[in-house]
Amino acid sequence: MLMYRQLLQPKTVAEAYELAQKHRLAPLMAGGCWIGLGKWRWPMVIDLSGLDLRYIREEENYYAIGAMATQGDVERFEPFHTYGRGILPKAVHPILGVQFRNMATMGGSVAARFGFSDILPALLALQAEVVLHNKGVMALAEYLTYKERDVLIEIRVPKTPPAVALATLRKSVSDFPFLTGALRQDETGYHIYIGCRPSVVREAVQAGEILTQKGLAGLEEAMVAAASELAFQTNSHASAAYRQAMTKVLVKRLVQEVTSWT
Amino acid sequence: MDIKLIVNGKTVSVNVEADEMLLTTLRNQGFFSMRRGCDTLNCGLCTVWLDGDTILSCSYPTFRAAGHEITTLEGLAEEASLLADCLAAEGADQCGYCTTGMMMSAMALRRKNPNPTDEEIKEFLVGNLCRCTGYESHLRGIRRYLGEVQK
Amino acid sequence: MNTPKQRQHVGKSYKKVDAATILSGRAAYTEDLIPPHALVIKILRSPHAMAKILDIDLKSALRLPGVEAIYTYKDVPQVRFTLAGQSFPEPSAYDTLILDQYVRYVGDGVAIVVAVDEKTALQAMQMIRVTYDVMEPVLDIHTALDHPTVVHPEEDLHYNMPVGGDPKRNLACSYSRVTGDIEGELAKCDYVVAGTYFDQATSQSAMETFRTFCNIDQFGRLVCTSSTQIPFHARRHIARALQIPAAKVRVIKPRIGGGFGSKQTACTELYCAFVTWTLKKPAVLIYDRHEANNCSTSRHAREWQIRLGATKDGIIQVIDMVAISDAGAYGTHAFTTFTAGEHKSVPLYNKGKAVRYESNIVYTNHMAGGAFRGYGATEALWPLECAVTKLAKKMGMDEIELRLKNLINVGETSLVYAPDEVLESGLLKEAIARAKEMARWDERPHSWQIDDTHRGGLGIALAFQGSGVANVDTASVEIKLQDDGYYTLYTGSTDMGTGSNTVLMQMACEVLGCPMEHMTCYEADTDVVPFDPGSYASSTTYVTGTAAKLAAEDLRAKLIRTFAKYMEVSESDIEFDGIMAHTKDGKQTMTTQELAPKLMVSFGHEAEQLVGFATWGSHTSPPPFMVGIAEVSVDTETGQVTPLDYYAVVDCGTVVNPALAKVQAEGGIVQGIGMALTEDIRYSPKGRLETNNFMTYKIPTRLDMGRLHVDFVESHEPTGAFGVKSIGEVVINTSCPAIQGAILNACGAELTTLPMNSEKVFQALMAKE
Repeated sequence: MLMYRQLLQPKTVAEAYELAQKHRLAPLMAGGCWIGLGKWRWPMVIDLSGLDLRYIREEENYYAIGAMATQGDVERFEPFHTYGRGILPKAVHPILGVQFRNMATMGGSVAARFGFSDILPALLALQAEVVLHNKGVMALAEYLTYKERDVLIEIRVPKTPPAVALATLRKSVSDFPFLTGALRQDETGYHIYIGCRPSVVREAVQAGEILTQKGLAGLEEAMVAAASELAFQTNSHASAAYRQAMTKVLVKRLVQEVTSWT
Repeated sequence: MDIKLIVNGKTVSVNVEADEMLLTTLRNQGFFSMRRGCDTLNCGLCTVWLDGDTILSCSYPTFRAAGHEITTLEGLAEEASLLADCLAAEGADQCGYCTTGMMMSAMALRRKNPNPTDEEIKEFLVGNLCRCTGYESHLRGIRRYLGEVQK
Repeated sequence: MNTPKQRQHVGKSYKKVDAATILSGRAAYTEDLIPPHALVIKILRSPHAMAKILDIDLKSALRLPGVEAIYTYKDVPQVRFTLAGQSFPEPSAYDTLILDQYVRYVGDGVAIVVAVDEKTALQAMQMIRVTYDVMEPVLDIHTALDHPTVVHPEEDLHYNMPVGGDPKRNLACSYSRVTGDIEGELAKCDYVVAGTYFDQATSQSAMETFRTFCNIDQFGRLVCTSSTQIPFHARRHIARALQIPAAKVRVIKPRIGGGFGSKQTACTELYCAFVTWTLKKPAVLIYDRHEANNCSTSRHAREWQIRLGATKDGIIQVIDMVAISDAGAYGTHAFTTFTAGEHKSVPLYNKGKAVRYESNIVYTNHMAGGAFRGYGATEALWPLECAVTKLAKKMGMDEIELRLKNLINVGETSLVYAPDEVLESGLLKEAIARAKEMARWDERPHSWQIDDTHRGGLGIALAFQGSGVANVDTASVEIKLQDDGYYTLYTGSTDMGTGSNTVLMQMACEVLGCPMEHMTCYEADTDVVPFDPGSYASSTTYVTGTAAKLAAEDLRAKLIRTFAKYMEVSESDIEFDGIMAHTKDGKQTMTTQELAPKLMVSFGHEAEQLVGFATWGSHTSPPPFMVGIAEVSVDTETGQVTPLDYYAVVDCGTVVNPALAKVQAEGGIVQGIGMALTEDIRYSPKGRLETNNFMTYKIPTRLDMGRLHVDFVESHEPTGAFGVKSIGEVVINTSCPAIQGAILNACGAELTTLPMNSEKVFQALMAKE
């Protein structure tokens, strides 16, 4: 159960940023879905629901997903049904149920940078950018290691997506995945992202390079490379060895899917 | 905090703690159709509508609901009683504890998609767990209800 | 008695009599009925798996405004009891106190905190300082026996009867029955299969967690309103634990949100009763999901060594099953779940010469085991049915052919049956034939390629269960003719959502002849209803239902006698349809509505409220039978198993309410699918339960189960009213072994450990290569 003593309700992003700097331990409450899972009581939380950030807009070169847009909003946003062959709805759809997705926000999903995220691999494959109050526009890949306390305003995905694929493995429906993966094939070649190892998603650079150089002939080699270049750990959902073995399967499936684009 | 809620079309003034969840507020107001079944947003027992979309009232801070239209099963009495009847005819109510939350999802689905496939029904209701029925009777009952509504 | 064709009520799919209310959101469940100003109780719990409490400092917590009281082991009566809901004398050890100086699992109770509201109670809980002497916990069933740590070192642990226990060795209880010469017969067998099979602890996971509120009534008695399957046993436990006469205690069960055996063990009742009795104030205790999963009881985990031997004619000559079972921290249901498993598994195949069924059931520092739908049969049928499939493969026989060859027939006995016991009814072969037909077993391969990465497979399992506990479960039912001519049926059984109230009324109305609307039902209030052990052991339709039929017969006879008196004719001249009586010549008529008021006054006649009453228990526990055929898809690259279809045929005797019986079957199958594939109680190396919520303990969603196809064959059980047996538990028993067989057929992966998740299937596939 989510418990806190004091609620701070900023009305602008700038005000939210100031409060976040002033109260460095107070969590920023977006959808509020995860911060309640702990048993503790927060002295103070900063509510982000008053910032008018619930929107999805089509801009000239990108789609802007407001930080408070829900996962459900993404599923229902008509252009996303065909955008990247539906990769964004596909990424959010397996997350728990409809009710949860009507509450969980895209900003919260990105800012939490959870290892088990279904969404981050898809956004990385799309070369998404984030807009932060203080740091401005930043590549999502960079944001994953960005340590400063900032307020996430929106997520941008390029209007014309490259060929992308997404694959996740989970032991049962509505469970967390135990391995996630996404792939992009563009003019620079193949880029493979593997997440939930169980740590946060990262690119399997060597595997991508092998595919870029050798094409499908290098698939076997790339599968092995991805499994060996990344670090895997054991947790309640899967052992390190199983994750490693399944990374090969995931790479194969991603390549197969993206091949169907051409 | 003093806030105004619109519950089933009626405005209610409530005084709530900043961290009070909508489930608690509604139960304190005598609406018992939603219940707490878990602490991890998995079960769907607390499902209500916020502006027509299903949400989990156990994890929705009440202050955020101010000014929005909240709908509970009690506010859909006539339709809910038809759905209840269709479910009961299939024995799909069983202990009944999760059923009212599931009914909120089923009635929301009908508004968004009056002719869903079995797969679409299951997808839309996947966030409503049930331990008694094995779910098949829900599907039969909802099919019966969708048929009745269309008559 | 009406023949099946003429029956009005039995065999008809009535809606549950409480359906409209529970689906309306009106107050019906325990939490909806809490009295105003009830104090809120929270339990401070042990962070250690095994420890002795050296000191508890309550000073600062007690100073917190709003804290009413805090109790520790020093404050509670020092009389041990069991929380298990079983008829007295219980076979479960008296090894429990309301609070104990020793804590025996992570989550065991340390202190009872009572405050004006939940927030205050939680805050106070954090202010309590406890000093523990932490001991090395017992966390492995293989090393529990004679472990240096003794889980129950106390001297006053008490057994009501010999159950093979030796607590100083961590042996909660033990059982062994050997019939015939196991090794000698095995030596004569042409085929022997052996294997080690593990079935995990699983959580019943009723959607309504454990909860109780108590208050003091106008006579100064304790009234305990609780989500329980066992009001009478709970009353007895409360009286013993509080050391007060049972006459001072009343237990009421409102609508409850599921049980599945979890509420056959008292849980929140004792804490709450203690608080209200001590303070003489209303109080409520509601477990959150974390506590419900962590601080109640689970199915007992067992590791089995099984050997089956068969001669080349296909006869299974030897069944040898030896287990180590995890009792957990307390011995609730430890002995009886194991012994029940014998009677509900081994007799399936009765052509052999030797049987051994044996287990040490050891105390550990895990959450206590308890009752969970299937009650030992699910556990025993897992290794047995897997091994029978394995034997069939080894012999090159169809899995069903081998089973048919060895299947018990009506009129036959088993090496584990009582001396005069035979299988009295059952359309076993008909059920198997029907299931084969539904699954098209004979018309298609049992293993096939679906696409590049998926293979399909079919697997089968059979199951028995019981109907009530033979010679123990005894129910009484009372049916009153009320002053307006309507009937009220009083029962101590506890409808936990199954529709048992409806089924009992159908059986009673069948006898009386009246429509269902002419009867109401009042249940599960120890002050009002006659004794019933409660709803468990698949007893309600068979035991309580038969009592309901007999009570209705008693009332019907009294009604006819009374009508005859008022119409001044002989009883044989009266025809009665449950509402109206008329003389055979048609000259006089009288309704119950006309009769009843006359009976309440004494103008001219003797006043007499008519009450039908019956008590009934059975010398036997007739087994319902089920065939389950699972069809699954296995992703051969990942090991992921997807249930596609499940074909099930159940023989529960006469089906009283087909719609409700079907849902029982469907619900049981899906709980079984959860046990087979995803549900797992896991502990950290220090003994902390890691799966104490629905995020980590995965019960099936509606997308995890495939499609279900359920049918019935109806045998006539001669001992049960209208030919009934039971349905509640047998339906969970086939899922695990049938799915195991389907995976084996699909891809050759032989799984021996539950749950059969993708990683284990993948490992088994690798092992095969």
